[in-house]
Amino acid sequence: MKTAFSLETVNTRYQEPNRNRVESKYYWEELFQLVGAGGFHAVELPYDPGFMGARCCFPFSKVVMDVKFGGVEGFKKVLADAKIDKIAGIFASPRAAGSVEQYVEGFKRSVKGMLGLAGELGCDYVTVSASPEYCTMGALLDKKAELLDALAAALGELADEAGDIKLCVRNEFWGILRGAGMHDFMAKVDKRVGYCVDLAHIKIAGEDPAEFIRKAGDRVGVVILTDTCFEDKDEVWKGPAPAFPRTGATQVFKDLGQGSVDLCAVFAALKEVGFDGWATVDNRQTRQVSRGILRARYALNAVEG
Amino acid sequence: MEKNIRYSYMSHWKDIPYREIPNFRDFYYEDKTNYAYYQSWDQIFKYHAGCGYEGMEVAPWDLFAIRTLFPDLREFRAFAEERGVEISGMFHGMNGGRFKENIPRNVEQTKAAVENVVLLGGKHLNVCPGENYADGGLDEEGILNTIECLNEMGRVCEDNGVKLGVHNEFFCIMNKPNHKRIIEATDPRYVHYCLDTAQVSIIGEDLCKFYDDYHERIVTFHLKDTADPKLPDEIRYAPFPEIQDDGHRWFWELGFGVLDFEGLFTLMKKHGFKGWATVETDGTPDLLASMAYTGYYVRNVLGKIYC
Amino acid sequence: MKIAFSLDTVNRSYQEPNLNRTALKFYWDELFKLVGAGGFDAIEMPFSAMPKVRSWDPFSKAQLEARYGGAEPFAKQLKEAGISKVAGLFFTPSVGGPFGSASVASADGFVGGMKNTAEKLLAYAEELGCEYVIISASPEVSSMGGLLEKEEEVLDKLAAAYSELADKAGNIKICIRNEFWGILRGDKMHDFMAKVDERIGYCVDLAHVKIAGSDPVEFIRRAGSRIGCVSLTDTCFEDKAECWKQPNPLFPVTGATQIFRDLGQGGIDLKGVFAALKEAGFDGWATVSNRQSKQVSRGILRARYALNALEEV
Repeated sequence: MKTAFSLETVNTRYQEPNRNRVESKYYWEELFQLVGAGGFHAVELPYDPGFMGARCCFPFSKVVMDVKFGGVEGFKKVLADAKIDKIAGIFASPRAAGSVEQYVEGFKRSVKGMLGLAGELGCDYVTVSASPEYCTMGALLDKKAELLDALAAALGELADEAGDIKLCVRNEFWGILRGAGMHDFMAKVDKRVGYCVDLAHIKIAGEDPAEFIRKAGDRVGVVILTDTCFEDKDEVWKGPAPAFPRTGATQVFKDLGQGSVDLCAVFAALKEVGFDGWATVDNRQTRQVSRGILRARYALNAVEG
Repeated sequence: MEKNIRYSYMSHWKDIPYREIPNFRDFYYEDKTNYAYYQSWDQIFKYHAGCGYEGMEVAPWDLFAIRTLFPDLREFRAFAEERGVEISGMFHGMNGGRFKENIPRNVEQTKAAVENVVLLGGKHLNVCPGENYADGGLDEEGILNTIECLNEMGRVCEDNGVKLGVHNEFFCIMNKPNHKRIIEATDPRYVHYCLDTAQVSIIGEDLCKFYDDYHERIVTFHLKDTADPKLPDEIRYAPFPEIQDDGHRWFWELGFGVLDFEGLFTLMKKHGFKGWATVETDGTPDLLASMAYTGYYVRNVLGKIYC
Repeated sequence: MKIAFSLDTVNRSYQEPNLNRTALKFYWDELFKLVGAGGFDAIEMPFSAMPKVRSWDPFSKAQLEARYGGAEPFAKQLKEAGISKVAGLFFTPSVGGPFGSASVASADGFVGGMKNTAEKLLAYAEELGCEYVIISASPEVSSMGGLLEKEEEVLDKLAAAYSELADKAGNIKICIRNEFWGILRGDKMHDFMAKVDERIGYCVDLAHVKIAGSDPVEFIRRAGSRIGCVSLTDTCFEDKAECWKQPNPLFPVTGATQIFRDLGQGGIDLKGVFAALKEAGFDGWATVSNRQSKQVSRGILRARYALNALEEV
């Protein structure tokens, strides 16, 4: 199993002190060094082709890599100088739009764009969310069966185009395939498409991550090492902004090792199913990026120890 | 004594994920950092009011996250007003108005934006001509189309009781070679001007002279300081100069840069300016500290000249 | 050469957002883990003769006992965080004690006070299993008042006192640090060390040496076999306005700046320093000291990055 670190850890959207720094290139140049110094030599990137264009330096799109880093090769060189020799994968979540056909077309277009960039970056995996947040899906929810059939078919087509890149599906706790709902869907999907097992999402949806991994078996495509203490007693997942529960403010996603996900059990289950792909630390919603890197390193050292 | 200037503060809060945090103590204890102090509109509005700001100007990219919490923008307005803050107006971008074929689309977008401003109770729509200068300057036809587009957009605003204020950006297409002509050639009944003190100075204008010359058109301000007036064209016209790779800041809190705000306020007094002035601190790492500092500055330094 | 990480990276005195946390137990409990996760398995600590009673820092014997249950549980806690050693301690003597007055200070009073605290320091170091202690040669010159007129007498008495302390130090190496604001700043240290008991070593604090106008590499060569420990500090500061003479020299009134930068962020030639240390046959402790760090965790990673880069060289 190989370990990567997701740059989703950087808050690019929400207010926090010193947030302004993440807009400039110097922040990212140093971040790569800090990630490398934390013993992570591979990264995962969120994929966000439209966000703010190149006004900000979030290296999540081809346009920013071109404008700010002199293209993909320039970007990879900056990473290599920071001792990061691999972009393991990229991920994105689709947005709800119109009819089933429109949604699936948008989904396919987006994943094709991801596969193109992933190919250029030399990624091993691409992760796409099964759906956006439940509450944004409107009329699409009435056609869930039709939507899932169309998505399954689309994923099969996309797997044809993926080549050596492993296409994986993530089931967020706020999505239509939350928790164990994923297994029936995956049974219908082309076997080349893998599970993205996101530990915290699985746990919040009420499933045991280790058990989930055992059920996914050899179809685990990538593991996202996330942590949480959140228990969704009020069905926050159905409402708007489920990552910020309105029934009580809380940090839903904790830095790795700070929540209650049983990492030892997860690693044992991964070993049991013979998983040898990427396990990517994702400290999303972290309050301090550098502390999060060290916390994750501490947690991994403890598990490995 | 009735005040002539009402101070608003530009929202650079980005997305705020909570309306209120009734479990604030527990939320604080989760991480025990100041993070928890910046996560709800309840806090943000109270900070505005506590620092002496009566208003907040929003930006269109704020609306998605705001609507997630307040599906009806009137609810957001009421929430702000309950905490002593009015929404003074909204920022807006003109998209491709230099091309004739884009004018109808801009008019439609203005209608939608003005509808939001009205729901929010705002009085201003401050319009930045969108594209970067590096995308290509304005030719004669582009200037004429821009003027026409602004007039059409301004008419929509005026019909709804909102003032359109043209807002320069130092790196945008409406720039030193043409911006005065555009101001002068637009219809003064519909098209007004929002004087962003730093942007205009970075472009190369003398702030006080510019205000003196165009005071009749200036209906509101974005008050911010800069340490880089008269920035060379090659920097301003380069691709994407707004966010510098090394973190260099173009914009500073009032008094942290080099602009002559005392001179400006003396002229505002001379011309009897009345209305909203938005203090803006793009690029600050600490919006609350900047808000408190500028609140002091406008009351205790500039307020002695004109308030 | 062995590498440690100094806990003087934690700001306990000056205002900054979230400062309140550093007074609390959870902060220190986690800090040890973060230091360990950064690949540092030894630490250095400041020594407080007067415990900061409203803090959970482990910098005094009283605090250690009250908060951590003593040296043994503390060592166990460190071990669990991946830290196997408290490599050293340091302290800076003051003139006339914390409540004293420089105007009435005598050489005997100053040196006696230093000795008294250094004995406590040594006892605490022994309990923690340290290999070195650092004593600053003097506090800031601006605080020394009339003692400056008796510099020669002060230095002679200090030299004698250090010899006596060396007798009591056992296996613990006593090292003298010459801050850029002190009476032995820069190369002035060498003449003094020539007079001091051979068992006493230099604490080569790179940034202090550089700010005082000496070249750290050359300084190391001159100190040679007498280097007792190295403090890996970094700086970009040039003291053109002689801030070292002013009160509070760490915060120059001539222009606010962060004098001590995280390791790798300043202008110290670390590659040259490590080559000179190798040349001098140094095999003691080199301790990263990110004092004045603006973010402790980032500083740990920055130091690790800087050290990794050196190892490659």
